[in-house]
Amino acid sequence: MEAQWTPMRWPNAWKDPGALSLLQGTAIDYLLIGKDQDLAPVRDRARQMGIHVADPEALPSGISIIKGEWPGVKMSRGGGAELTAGPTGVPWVDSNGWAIRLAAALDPGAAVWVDAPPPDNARPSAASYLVAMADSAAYGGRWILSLDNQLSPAIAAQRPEALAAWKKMAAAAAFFSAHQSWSGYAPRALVGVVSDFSGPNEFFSRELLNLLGRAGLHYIALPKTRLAPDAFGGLRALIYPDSDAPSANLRNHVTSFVQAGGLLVAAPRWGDVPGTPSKSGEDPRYAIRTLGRGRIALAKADPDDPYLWTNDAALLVSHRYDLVRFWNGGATGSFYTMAPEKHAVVHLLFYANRGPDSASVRIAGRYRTVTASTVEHPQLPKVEAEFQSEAVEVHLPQVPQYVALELET
Amino acid sequence: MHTGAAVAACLPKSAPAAAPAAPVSVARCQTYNPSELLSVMQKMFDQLGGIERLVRNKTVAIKINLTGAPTYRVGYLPLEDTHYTHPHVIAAAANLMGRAGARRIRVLESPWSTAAPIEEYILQANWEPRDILNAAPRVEFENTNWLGNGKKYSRMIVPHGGLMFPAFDLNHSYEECDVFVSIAKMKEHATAGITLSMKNCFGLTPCTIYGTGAGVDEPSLVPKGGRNLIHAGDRQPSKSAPPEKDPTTPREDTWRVPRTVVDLVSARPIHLAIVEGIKTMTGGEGPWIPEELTGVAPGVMVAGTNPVTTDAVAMAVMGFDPMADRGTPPFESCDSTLGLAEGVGLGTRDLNRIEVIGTPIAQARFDFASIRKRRRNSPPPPMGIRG
Repeated sequence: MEAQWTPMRWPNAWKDPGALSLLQGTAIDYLLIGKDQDLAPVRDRARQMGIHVADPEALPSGISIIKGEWPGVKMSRGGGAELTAGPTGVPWVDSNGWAIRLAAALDPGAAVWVDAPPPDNARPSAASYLVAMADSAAYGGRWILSLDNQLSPAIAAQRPEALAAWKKMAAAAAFFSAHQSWSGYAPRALVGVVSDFSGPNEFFSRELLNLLGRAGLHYIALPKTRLAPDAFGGLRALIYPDSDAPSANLRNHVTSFVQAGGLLVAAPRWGDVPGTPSKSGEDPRYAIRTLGRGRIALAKADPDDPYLWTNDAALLVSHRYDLVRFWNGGATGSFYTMAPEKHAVVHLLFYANRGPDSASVRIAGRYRTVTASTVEHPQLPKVEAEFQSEAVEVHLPQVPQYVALELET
Repeated sequence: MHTGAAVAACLPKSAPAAAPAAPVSVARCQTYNPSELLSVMQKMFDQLGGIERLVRNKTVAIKINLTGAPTYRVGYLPLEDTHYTHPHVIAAAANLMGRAGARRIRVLESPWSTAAPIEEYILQANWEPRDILNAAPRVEFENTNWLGNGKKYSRMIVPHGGLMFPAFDLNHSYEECDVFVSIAKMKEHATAGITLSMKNCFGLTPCTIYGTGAGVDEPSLVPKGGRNLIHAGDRQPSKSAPPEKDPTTPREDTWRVPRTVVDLVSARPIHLAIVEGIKTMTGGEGPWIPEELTGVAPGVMVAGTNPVTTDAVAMAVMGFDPMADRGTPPFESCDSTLGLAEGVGLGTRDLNRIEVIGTPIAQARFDFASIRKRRRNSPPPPMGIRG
């Protein structure tokens, strides 16, 4: 997955090419500028400055655009101050992480940009902008920096508080640009969701990815038409939610995975399964069979509730194998990646308006060192680590909404 | 052996003589090291007449305390060092009961807003379920926040008619046991003043019937949310269960929770009460309480066969007067669960009538009361986001 550019949607009202001076010294190197003829001088000057320019409606190849959500804690639909609960019991969070990972799986060579401008008439805080940028960058994508309609004129007018917010965004963009190699690191996951993610399976399979992420169950999307021979490596479970039967090849591939000790959670259309009934007791929603060293949980009814499937999957897989556990994190997200050289980067996201003051996080794996960084601190002070036999527990001081943990084995 | 008279001499009130008394064992225990725990708890059980007498060939149900979600801590402290019953204490109790011939041991809790197995819940707290499951033969967990493994809910009648509820519909495990044990953490409580062996039983109530997401007519399939229904009285339990006796009574949690607790421990009597205060917290019952919260190590355990006398001694160990009523710490704004329990004849809270075995109260005391006073006389510290 590539993340070599840092894109920004140029405000249509910024017709003065002089505004491009804002970009000097920043990581922003790709502008999406509207077709308005009045913006031609801006386009020309940007190109002279070595900045890539594209029409938002006609992007060059090699870039996948996702229509995303403004990320963060979701307020109630009634517009009140109440929070909406999610599968973890904490407030519901909108995140574009799942869509980025799916886009990367469907088109591995492309850069993934998230088009999720601030909601109309919203006035996001600088912290909220950080969440928007980090929510995409953590998962290997890039948020198209888009200013709200109050901040944009305020920046153009050089208002100090607006410029301060702009500097924070520029700092975040610089941080992620400086670590763009992280986007190419391999995700570490427990579960693979095998689907075509399209047609009649589109809603369920995609919502399943979204909810698995919200439940803290680390997953990878596995498009079933392009499975590599080693696609299931490192996974504990596969979920096959599709409403059509698998091909013979896929069935064989998955069956081998189960026989070697994996778990398959499948919709009824998977068809007959070999093996013997499990001795661990009946599940109300699944017929569970053992096959070789593994298990198959075949749903008794066609899947209609991805929320239920998510919770079921979390229990069938078991929290014993959690890759990341949070305490005092509130509404959290995480993405665990492995670099080639025994090096891991775990991205931590805290979606509340303010970062936590005493969060702990347990990262599964054997590590010797851990360093934490934020946009503002290349090496966060006052971070304590307890190295355990199969994990490291990190105690964080007051942190902002995004923290990167770098771990060495 | 001695009595709590030395402490009681300082206390102005006397208790009704009708409520039964029973001995209470107090012991210092500095660590959760299994060898120390087993030795201390064995001695405590012996001082109470022996655990074998209580559990041999019996099905034992142990209600533990796992209040709040496993994803919240007091600072960076493990949950078991502040507000969850420590797993080593649970395992030690199960081990001793197994060795004493218990036929079956069910470890019970109604964890926050979930029907998931207890094993999965405690894994999120960084516990290892096998530490408890392997402590004795035939140990099992059951989540009692819903129907669980039962075919139907058990109707448990309150013998004295009930202060709030005439009966409760509970998970089958609370009826299908011969011996009922409450293992609590020694803590203050924002609503009930203190939470000890009796208040621990507030969690007997399944949220499918008594919770925020309870079904109106029938129990919901799975629990959702907390027990605001009991706290605030904003609605009645599912119609399949007995409603509260008088819906015109105060809708205040400080009135309702202590009475509900007394009704619960009347309906489901406690045969063995254990209050664990080796490590715990001051300031409230969990990380969500907006007080200055501090992890502390009183290094003490209290156990008895009567929950009222046990909780009375535990209160005295905490530096509180067990004869205190509403208006006096720790019951500044709530009714005393102990007083109400004594009033319905469950047991006495009068230290003059309670035989204290083992470590004298004065030597075991960890003064929660003074810490509480200091805390409440000083402004709270700045508090960040805890999620």
